Amino acid sequence: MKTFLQNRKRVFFALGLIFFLLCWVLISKLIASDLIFPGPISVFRKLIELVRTGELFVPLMKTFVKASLGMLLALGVGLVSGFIMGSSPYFYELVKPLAMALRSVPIVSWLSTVILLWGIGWKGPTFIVFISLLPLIMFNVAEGVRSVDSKLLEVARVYEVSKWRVFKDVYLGSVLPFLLSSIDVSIGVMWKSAIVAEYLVGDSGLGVQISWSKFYINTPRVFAYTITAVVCGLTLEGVFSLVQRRVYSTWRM
Amino acid sequence: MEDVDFLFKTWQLSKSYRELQVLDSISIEMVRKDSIAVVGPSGCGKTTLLRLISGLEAPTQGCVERYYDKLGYVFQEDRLIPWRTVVENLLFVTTDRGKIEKILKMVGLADFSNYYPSHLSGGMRQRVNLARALVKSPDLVLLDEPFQSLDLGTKIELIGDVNRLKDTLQFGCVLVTHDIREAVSMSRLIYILSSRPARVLKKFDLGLKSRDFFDPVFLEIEKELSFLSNTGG
Repeated sequence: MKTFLQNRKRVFFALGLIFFLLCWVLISKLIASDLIFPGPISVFRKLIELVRTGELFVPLMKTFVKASLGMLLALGVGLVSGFIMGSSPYFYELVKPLAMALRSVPIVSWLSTVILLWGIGWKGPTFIVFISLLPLIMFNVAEGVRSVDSKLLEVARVYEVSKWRVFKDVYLGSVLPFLLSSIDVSIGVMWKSAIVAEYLVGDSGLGVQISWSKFYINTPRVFAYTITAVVCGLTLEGVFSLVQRRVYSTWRM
Repeated sequence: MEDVDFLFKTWQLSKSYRELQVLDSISIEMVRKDSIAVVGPSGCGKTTLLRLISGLEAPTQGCVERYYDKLGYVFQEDRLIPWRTVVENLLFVTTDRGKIEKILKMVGLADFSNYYPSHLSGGMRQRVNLARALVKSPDLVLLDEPFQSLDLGTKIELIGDVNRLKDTLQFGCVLVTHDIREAVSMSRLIYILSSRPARVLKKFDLGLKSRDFFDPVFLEIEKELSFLSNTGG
């Protein structure tokens, strides 16, 4: 049984979606050119066409795979280096300038390096996703390690608990909220970086489709792919939110 | 008496943090299976004494001779791992599931093995803290003001439980508290400490099996102890 307030919010959200569509229609009518700013109807028509020809799901999956791979690599390297950084203040300071620099380098700057290394293909986008996510994950994991409750560590000392047990029961648990929060923030970045990278140096995926559509000045196609990208990005974030809530509720935190 | 009959001996134990001296030349001996209490005003350094005995910290002067085999430490705060269940918290210190089951039954938490600490009351969490201290069959158990945050009813219950467990499991126990009544209802030997820097003011040998929190016999002793504790330093 939904409360009155929740119902009200849902009503306004639905109205908001309609409002969004109305703005879209309005702007497209004002510009009055399908080439510059197509309206919702032509975009959705194009979208259905793409679904039918299979030109939507295949690129979508390809982008998803590359983005996920980049994320997994960033998690792997980030966890290990984050742990070392969190445990050793010297290592932390050593790595900090590099990590901060990596965090600030714009994606376009990776272009020349990536193209010369791997040319056009899947490795470039995967690498770009990886390098975009790595610094944040590293810093968050390091922070998680540094914030471990020293009182729990004292308990481990008194009872002579093995280092492995301490790592598993105390450190991992302390790090998890930080890790989850960094993934939460990174999902949007992951998705958008993958698409931008594909646009620049990719050979398949949503980014490439958008690039080709733009090249052929098929603006409804561009919009159709963009809508797809937006919906997918939001869905991924939503799914992860659910996962996060699930994890927290099982741990009763 | 041979060394092996003792659990530990401290010899002129002193501890300072920078210029702040917390303990001043404390010399205490503890015999196996004995129950001693260390009583003093809040903040006088009682917790520090336990930390030195357990080895969590090193003394500035003096030394601790340890003869105990295994140690159990009931901390002031329960210090349970929040993302682990009761059973898992005990598994943290031992792999013997049989013993874990047994000890949980002894402290009355058998039905709560799979609960997370956040779903337990303060008294129950302290019981887990206690169970964790006892599960490895220690010969020495240190209790650092373990009943402080509990209401009177829970406190009395828990004191009774600890006394019962002491009889069953035969461990030596050091209770640190500012509450004279707790000390009297749980210990044979009571050390009174002054306020910081703490010195031993007096040693009381009750020599009785003190149990009941409100037994009138102890009200007299309590009065004398209170007087001493309030005026001694």
